[in-house]
Amino acid sequence: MGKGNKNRLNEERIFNLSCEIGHRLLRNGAEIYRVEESIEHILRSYGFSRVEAFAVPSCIIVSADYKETHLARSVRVRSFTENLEKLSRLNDLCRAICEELPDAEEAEERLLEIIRLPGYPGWAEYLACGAGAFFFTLFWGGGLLDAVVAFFCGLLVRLVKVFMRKVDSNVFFANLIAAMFLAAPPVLLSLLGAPVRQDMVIIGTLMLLVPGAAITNVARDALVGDFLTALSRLAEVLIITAAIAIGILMSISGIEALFGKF
Amino acid sequence: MVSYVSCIYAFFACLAFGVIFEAKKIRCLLAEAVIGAAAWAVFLALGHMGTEIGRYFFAAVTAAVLSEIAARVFKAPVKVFLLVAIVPLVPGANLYHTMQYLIEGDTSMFAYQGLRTLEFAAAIAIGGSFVSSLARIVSIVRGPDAENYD
Repeated sequence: MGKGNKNRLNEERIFNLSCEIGHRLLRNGAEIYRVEESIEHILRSYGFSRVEAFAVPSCIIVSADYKETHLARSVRVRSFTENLEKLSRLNDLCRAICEELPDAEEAEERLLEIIRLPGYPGWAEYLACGAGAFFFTLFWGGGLLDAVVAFFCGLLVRLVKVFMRKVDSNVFFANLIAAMFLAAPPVLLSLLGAPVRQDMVIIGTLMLLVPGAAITNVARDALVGDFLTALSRLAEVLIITAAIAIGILMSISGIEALFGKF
Repeated sequence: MVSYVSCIYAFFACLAFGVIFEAKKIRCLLAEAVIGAAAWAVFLALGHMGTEIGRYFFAAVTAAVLSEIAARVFKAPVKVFLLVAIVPLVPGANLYHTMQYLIEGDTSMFAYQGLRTLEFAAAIAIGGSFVSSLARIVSIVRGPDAENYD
């Protein structure tokens, strides 16, 4: 064995790199089969044998042989967000690596480049949440005034979500609090006699929290055969939906308890 | 005559959600929004159908088919387009009304509305992922050379 030979493929680094790419894919919202297949493709292209990759939303386990070396690794994934730009770039990187077989250093560099990719600036995220609530209120049949109120509710939802992420709150509580803050302004406004239709404002802003896109992920995972993932994501969807419902319920009935029936 | 004004709202709402989900390329953002609006237009156009589940299903299928095409044109995963395009179909209003019945203590309407919300969600989910399974089979049948952007 040519140990110390610099031209030799650094199998351990490549192996770790493939795990890291899988990890990043999962964290940025890739489907489970994509995570598993990406890891397997990279390792096979570099000549690893007996490649096995197993992923669930919270963990990735990879094992492979390279000549006489046996490598195994598990990666714990604690949270994931939907980041379409990073997902798309990681997918491209994975393709490029399989075709070009760059050395470990270059591949690591390209991965780091993607990880460090800046997202939208903070104000754009706030604006997007406001605009999302604004247009969904119009979409569901609300008037212009309702939409304007929804715009500010959208900003409020974003503010609460950012704060809850900072204090590292769990999904249930974060959504519950966000839903409470979302429902309070329109209910209070209509209580004060403003011509605001509280249902329209709440429905429009609600769209920011409802895990609507996640339900297609659930069905997708189930149809591909990743039942474990489908079940765990389904549980997440149900818990978030329940949290939103309870939050809005608490807000409305709390205001009713304080100020009487309206 | 059905009014298609809400398609414009759906377009801008999808743009906003594209930013929330960190889609950065302008052409991808626009494609997502167009697909979202088109899916909603299909939903509206199918107003003559008796079942709302069918409307949700076909609207989701439209979104999925267009997303598959966009994925091949823009060389990006299908999810990039579908995740955003499906958002206008999400039955948020049904969810709200379910809650409203719960607050009012109308248990039978709560159960009815809650079930409907679940049905619509299932119709969207199955419509959205049915196409991708089909596309996967097609690309495998076409052989390993065929570009596979599932």
